[in-house]
Amino acid sequence: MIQENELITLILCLVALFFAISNYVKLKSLPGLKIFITSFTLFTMGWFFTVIEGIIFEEVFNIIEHVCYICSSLTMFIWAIVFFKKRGEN
Amino acid sequence: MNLIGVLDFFVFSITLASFSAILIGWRNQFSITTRLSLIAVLFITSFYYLSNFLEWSGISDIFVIVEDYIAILAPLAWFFFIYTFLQKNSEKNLRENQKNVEEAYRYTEFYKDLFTHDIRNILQNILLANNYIEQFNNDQDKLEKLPEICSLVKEQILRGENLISNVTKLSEIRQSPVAIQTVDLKNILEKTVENIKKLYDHRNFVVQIPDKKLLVKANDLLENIVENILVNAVMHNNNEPIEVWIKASKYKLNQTNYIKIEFIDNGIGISDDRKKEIFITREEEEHKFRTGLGLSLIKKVVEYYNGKIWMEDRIKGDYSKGSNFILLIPEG
Repeated sequence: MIQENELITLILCLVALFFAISNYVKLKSLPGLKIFITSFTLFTMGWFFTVIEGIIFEEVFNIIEHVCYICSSLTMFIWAIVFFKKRGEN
Repeated sequence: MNLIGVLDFFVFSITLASFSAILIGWRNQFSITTRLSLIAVLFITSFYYLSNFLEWSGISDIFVIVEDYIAILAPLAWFFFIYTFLQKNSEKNLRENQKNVEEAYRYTEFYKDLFTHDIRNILQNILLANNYIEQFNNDQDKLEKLPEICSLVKEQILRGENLISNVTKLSEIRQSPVAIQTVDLKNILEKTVENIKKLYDHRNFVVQIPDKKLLVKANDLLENIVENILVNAVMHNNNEPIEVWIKASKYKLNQTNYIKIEFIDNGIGISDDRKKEIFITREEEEHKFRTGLGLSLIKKVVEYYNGKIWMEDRIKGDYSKGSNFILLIPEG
């Protein structure tokens, strides 16, 4: 069953992701931009599978959702390291 | 603890590590609003993952009630972080563009001033010479002055040529600075003096050059500096012969080794009031005393070499006996 709050969060994630991708060129001065966008995409995918698990294959999509979260947090950690490295170079 | 509980434990730990790393490590990379929004992103996601971990590992479901509301804030925080970063970036770009436009405007005014003043001045001198020649009408007395008039015309043409060359050099320095390397000062002095003697073959021009080899950190533009100083020494000199003594020696100032180069001439000199203003570039102070582009160019190039330039009287206290241009160029 689809929960309203999960759907709203997913829509908000998609809006934010669209906003980030549509401003990709302007965001290029952000250190490690690709990693940052990847992290957010994985976070959004996590929410996508959260919604999907309410419709079909609950257990499978639940695991995929949490795998997406762990990938998202890992890329976020890599971004933090890249961020410091680039800042050091500057 | 089940598989998802373990996964969520790692998710929470890694996010917390990123959060801590960013909180501990950064300094003023972003504006305060951008930093706060990034902290919000990491705080909200950390909280969400902590709640997930506690729930799925069966430890506690204390945060479940607020988890859904907190989760909605996560994409909003991401959005706000990206938005504030973009906004601050746009402001920075706008400031840079404004600075570039202002600089371009100053240069436009500078070139306009250059053409309306110097080129007009040169053309007027040539026109005057032409008018004088037209009045000759085979008058033998006046015809005797013809070589002098021709020499004046030639001098004005050389002045114009020099001006155009200097404008080009200034523009080159501004757009793409030329690399600094080790160059032999003696070679540059010999080459430039030879060129100046050819240009002013109608004047009795005597130059003494130091005979020792000295290396300086400069480039080909040093030739232009020497050329400009020598041209000034010839143009502003009513004596015969025109004498220039070039001295070079090692000099130490503020722990830096320089080569001190002195150009001492027997020209008309520069009064104390004008001494302060001769190196002022037109783009800095366009209404101040006009010196021709030569000294502006010299100043810019010397500063580019991390060197220094100033001038003194040849004979202390009596400027009318000639000038001494002193250059400090870092030793090579």
